[in-house]
This record gives sequence, structure tokens and C-alpha cells, in this order.
Amino acid sequence: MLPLDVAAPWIEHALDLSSRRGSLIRANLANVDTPDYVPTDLDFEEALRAELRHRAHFGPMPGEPMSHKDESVQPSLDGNRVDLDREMTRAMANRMFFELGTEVISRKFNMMRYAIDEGGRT
Amino acid sequence: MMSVFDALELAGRSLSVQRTRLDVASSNLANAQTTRTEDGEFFRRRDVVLEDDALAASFGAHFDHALGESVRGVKVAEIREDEAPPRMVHDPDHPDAGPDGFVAYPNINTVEEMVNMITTMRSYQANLNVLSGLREMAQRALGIGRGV
Repeated sequence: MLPLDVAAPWIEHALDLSSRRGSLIRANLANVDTPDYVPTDLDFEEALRAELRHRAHFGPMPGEPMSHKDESVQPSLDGNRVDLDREMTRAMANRMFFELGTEVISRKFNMMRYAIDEGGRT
Repeated sequence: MMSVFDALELAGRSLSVQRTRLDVASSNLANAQTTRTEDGEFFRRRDVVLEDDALAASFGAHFDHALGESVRGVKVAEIREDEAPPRMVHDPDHPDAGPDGFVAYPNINTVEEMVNMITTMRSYQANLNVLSGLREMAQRALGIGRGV
């Protein structure tokens, strides 16, 4: 098991990524009717892969993940490229990822408290 | 094996595809009586052609690739114009009537479009159920060992 001081920064980084991705998605949703708007998304996959690459030697955190314009969706007549359904699904996936991260970190803390309490003696 | 996030992506794309189908069906319904378009012709009804799609550029796509890509998403291949001839109605007073007094109306069957719309909505709902099921599963998984 990873000690808390190693695991916590990772999870912190992942949660940070997730919350930034959340604000990008919210911006996209706010601009669902803005002409010529192209949605942005975080290179989450890329960032996680960099994370895995660094995992072997517990190296420093990879740098800032790049956000990119998502042009995979065909623009509508006004040039807007936001796809409501896909943004909502991304928002949900992102929320689930965030919940996962908070769950992991809170269990870590619980385990530490358990150790401090000498196995719940108090 | 695909990750939870792949499944979400798949369901999200499917929702998007169903929305396109609904857009097209409503456009067909709205133009059921349209005799004049930019091409100077009657309105031709449109059909959405769906195609399966690799879930490339998503989480863990390379894992799926290794396993023979058993899971396939869906995408809109094209929106095709129906080549059916117009429905000719004799109405000499209509501004778009030809010299013989016939007007070319689009060959759109309102009932058929309504049925399309209903099946589209059912598919959309089915995908929404998939999404909430996935969410439920993820939450249950997070609760393992917590007594929830």
C-alpha cells in the first residue's frame, strides 16, 4: 500500500484535473447556443498517461495538461459545435471520476485515523 | 473489457445520434407541405443512415483494440435525401402549380415520420437508462465495504 504522503498528491492532482475539466464542460454548456463557439476539453487521457509514465519512479507531477478545441462535432448552421448530449455525458463521467477520487482519499484518511486510534480503541 | 468511462462515452454518442434523428424527423414533418426549396424543387424527405463506429480517441481505446474491438459505438454515416417522386396534387390555383395544374408535394408520410419519432424517443430513453444504470453501478462500487 502506498503511504498517504505519496498517494495524496496523486489524488490531489487527479481531482484538480477533474475540477478543471468540470469548469471547461460548464463553459461549453453555457455556450450551447453561441454562434461559432467551439467547445474545449481537457486532454484528460493524455494527462493520465503522463501520470502513469511517472508512476514507476514516483517522479514529479507532469506539467500542465493541455486543453484543446474539440472539433469532432459537425457545426450547426450558426457554426456552434457544442453537442449537448455529449457534454452532459462528459459532465457525468467527470463527476463520477471526482467521486472516485474523493472516495479513495477519504478511505486513506479513515485508515490513517484507524491506525492513530489503535484500531478504534477509543 | 471497456472501462466505465468508455461505456459513458458510448451512451453519450448514442444520445447525440438519436437527437440528430429527431431533428431530421421534425424537419421532415415541418416540411410535409413544402413545395418550394432553394433548389426550386419540392422538399425531399431526409433519412439518417447510422453506422457502427470504433470508440477511438476515448479512454482505454487501445485496450479494446487489443481485444478485437468487440464493443462498437454508433455514428451518423450520412443524411440521405429520399429519391422518391413527389406526390402530385391537382390544384391549379396554387402558386407553384405547373402548366398542367399539378403541384408537386413532398412524398412525406406524416404517420411514418411520427412512428420514426416515437422509436427515436424510445432509443433516447433507453440510452438515458443505460447512463443512469452506469451511474448507479459506479456508486454501488464506491460503496463496497462501506455498508451502503
